[in-house]
Amino acid sequence: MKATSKFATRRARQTGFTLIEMLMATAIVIVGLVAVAQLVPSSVLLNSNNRNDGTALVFAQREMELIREQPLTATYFTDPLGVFCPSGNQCLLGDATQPNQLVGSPVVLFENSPVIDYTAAQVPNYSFTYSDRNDPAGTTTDVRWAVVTNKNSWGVVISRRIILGVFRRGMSSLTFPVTLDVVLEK
Amino acid sequence: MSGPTQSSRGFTILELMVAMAIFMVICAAMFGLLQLSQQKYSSETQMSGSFQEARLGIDQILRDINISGYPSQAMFSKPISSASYAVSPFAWDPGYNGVDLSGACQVGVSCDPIPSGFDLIVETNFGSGVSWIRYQLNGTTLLRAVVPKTVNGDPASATLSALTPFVENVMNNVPVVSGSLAAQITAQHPMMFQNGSVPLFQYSCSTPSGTQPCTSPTAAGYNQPQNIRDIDVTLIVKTPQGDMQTQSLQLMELTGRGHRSNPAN
Repeated sequence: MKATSKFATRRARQTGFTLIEMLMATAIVIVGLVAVAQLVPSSVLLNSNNRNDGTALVFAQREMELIREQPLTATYFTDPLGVFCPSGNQCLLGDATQPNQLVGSPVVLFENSPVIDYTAAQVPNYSFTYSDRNDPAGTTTDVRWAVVTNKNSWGVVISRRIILGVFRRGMSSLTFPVTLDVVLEK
Repeated sequence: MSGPTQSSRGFTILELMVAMAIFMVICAAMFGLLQLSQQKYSSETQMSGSFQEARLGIDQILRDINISGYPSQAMFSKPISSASYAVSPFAWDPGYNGVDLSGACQVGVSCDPIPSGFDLIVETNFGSGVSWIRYQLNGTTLLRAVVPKTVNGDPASATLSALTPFVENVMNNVPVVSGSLAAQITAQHPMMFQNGSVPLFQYSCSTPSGTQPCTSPTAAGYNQPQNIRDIDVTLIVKTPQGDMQTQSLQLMELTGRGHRSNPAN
């Protein structure tokens, strides 16, 4: 009788999980799995964001290449094909009568570096919107720049600083503008 | 006696079945998610692969254009064989005689087929004598050939047999190549191919009033191949297979501008 009682108490302590416990455990596992599974789409999204940023940077570099070709005496540049400056327009390269100050699109400081302020409106002749209809991504490119014309104490133009921003708009994913900052001397 | 036994019972078959059913439903959802992410991964891998291939392709084209016309005859102090210098940054067909610019055609008018929107021959020395580098879009395959320049050779026929596939799945000329594929693309991207094919190469010529598109009236009289200054390259590529989930086409466009390095011009 005593032995049986002992046996019974041991059996009683040996109960399995209840259904509620099982459900809770499963729910915890599922939460973990879903969290890990979400990494895949998020990395795919990040990949496509990077590609867009890369495309904007390539555009900015090509635009800067055209600006770099201009002599210091040039006050504007053009692009007959209308890619880096709307065709028929003159894209201005600063104002020598306002030396050593920013002329063109507004600039803000971001982590101590000047970047083009895309919350402001476009400034004529210092910005344009380019849309490439053969681009399957269907984006428009918002290009803006600001110029500082540097003169020495004798009033001679010695260098030109270009701050150029390129912002790909209309993407399904989140993108940020790209800013290039270059000083040209000749 | 019966009390403890009652409390130590396991699952009933009903409880077990309910638990398993719930587990199975969750498993099915998980596998669905796994399949989805695998499809996404595979589509994205294809996209990255094609993008990389197209980028390498356009980089090579632009590099070749940027060194075109080197060296010019003016760089040599004494007479030299015309196989050792570039007569013009870009060779042409017909009328090319390999020695001088007489007989040069007009871009977009009498240059047929080279240089045109889908066919280009660069004349340059990139280390082992002057070569002709030809790019030709044949259907959806961009072909490339490199052959050494010969004095009395014809660049068009010399490069023709050396053309090998360079970039696949190029869509620039798709309205001509495949109407059904073009219709599929314009259904997805209504803005594309509105003016028919998209030229792979667009030429800008040096004129007294600055650089102008070679086909513009301002460039009349200055639209020979030796006057080409810039070439805008547009490369539209699709992935070998469509998106794994939606079956839609995955396309990308790369652009670039190269110019000749011929110091004589």
